Amino acid sequence: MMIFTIAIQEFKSHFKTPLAWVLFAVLQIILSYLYLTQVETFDLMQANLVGIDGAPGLTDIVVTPLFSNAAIILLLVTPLLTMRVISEERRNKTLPLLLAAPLSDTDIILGKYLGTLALLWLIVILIALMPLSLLIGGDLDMGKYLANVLAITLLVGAFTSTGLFMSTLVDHPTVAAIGTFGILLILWLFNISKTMSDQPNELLEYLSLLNHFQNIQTGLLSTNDILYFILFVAFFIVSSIYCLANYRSQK
Amino acid sequence: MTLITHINLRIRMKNSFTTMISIMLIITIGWLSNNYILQIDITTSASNTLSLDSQKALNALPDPILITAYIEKGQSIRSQISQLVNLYKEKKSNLTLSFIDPQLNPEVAQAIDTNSEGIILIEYQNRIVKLDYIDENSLTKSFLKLANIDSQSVNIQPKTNSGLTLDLSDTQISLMNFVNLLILPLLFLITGFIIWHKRKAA
Repeated sequence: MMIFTIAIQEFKSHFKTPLAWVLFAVLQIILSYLYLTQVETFDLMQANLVGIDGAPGLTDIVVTPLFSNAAIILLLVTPLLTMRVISEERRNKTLPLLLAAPLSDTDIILGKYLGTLALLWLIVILIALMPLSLLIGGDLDMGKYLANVLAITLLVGAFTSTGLFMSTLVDHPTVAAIGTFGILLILWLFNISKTMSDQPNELLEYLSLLNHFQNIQTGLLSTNDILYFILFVAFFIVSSIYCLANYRSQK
Repeated sequence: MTLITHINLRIRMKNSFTTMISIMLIITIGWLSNNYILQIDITTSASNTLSLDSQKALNALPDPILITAYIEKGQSIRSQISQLVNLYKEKKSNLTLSFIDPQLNPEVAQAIDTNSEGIILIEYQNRIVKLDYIDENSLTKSFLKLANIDSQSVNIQPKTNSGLTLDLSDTQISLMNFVNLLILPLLFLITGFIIWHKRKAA
């Protein structure tokens, strides 16, 4: 139960500063603009699509690119939200107080993770609501739409766990943000080997965040892709707990 | 002092051991999940599911099939081909796909006479079928040809995607623009400003 107490506290703390609200506003403007541009593109090309066999539909032209764009923007934004989670407590010397409370390292890390993840899932809800307005005048492939929502939900879970790990590892929030961005970008770009090499490296292909994200986006749900994200989160959560436990034993 | 150092050392060793076991477990599950895969196509148009004709064609070819795509590196078509061939691979494990860049292997490219767009060779029991365009229909027909089955009667229709038309009035589009680009961001900014103002006052 202590995990949820910390999570709620962490979630509320994000809204006590203007940062979350400004990020919400900026994300809303950027993603809406990109989304409405795609709607306009579809509106212009729809007359040509009707006659083509197997032509891409509204979901392929508007929804999938919206979630792909959102993924890249969230890759930039998540480090800003996660950078302070633990490192700020360290810098303000409030971490020893938290560690002195009757809480295990797992409680602290999972609580902080869930609190920050809840904030990012709010952003996901905002993004997921946008394409639903298309139902007024068109049809969506709801299966593919739900697959896109699942893909971005799992992706932000992975982003948050990486950010939390970096925040636990280093003292300075800015270093944590840059480190998170670096790790995520490298893992994102592993996908390049798929098109740039005749014999793609299987390990790099497996480790690529983009690869698994795009696989789920197609609507073909695979245990391999879903477990990748769950294991990704588990790896960084375990590493964060280890870092915090080490910090506690050093004090 | 020595006792505290000793206890700390034991705690750190226990932490390292638990973390190592957890990471090994994660790697093992990752390896297993990569080798034993369950899939489900949740799209309304079943765009990720092979047609019955394609599955029948695969069943008629028990020996290994080798697909070689002579396409330049960095082309997005490589991913699309992989995606399509993966659907067949799910049903037939001894099907292999490989890519060769014709620019880097000009002698091979000349030997098989590739065009600028690239070419795909399908090899089965030393027999080869050449394709310059690949989709489910053309690939399945090639398999039927290699299995010596009449492919003329087979015509796999591309999957029809839902939502090919969008009927929104100008008012509805303007309302979407207004709410998404103005009302919501403004609401967030005002809330942020109120919080900032309150913090400043406090």
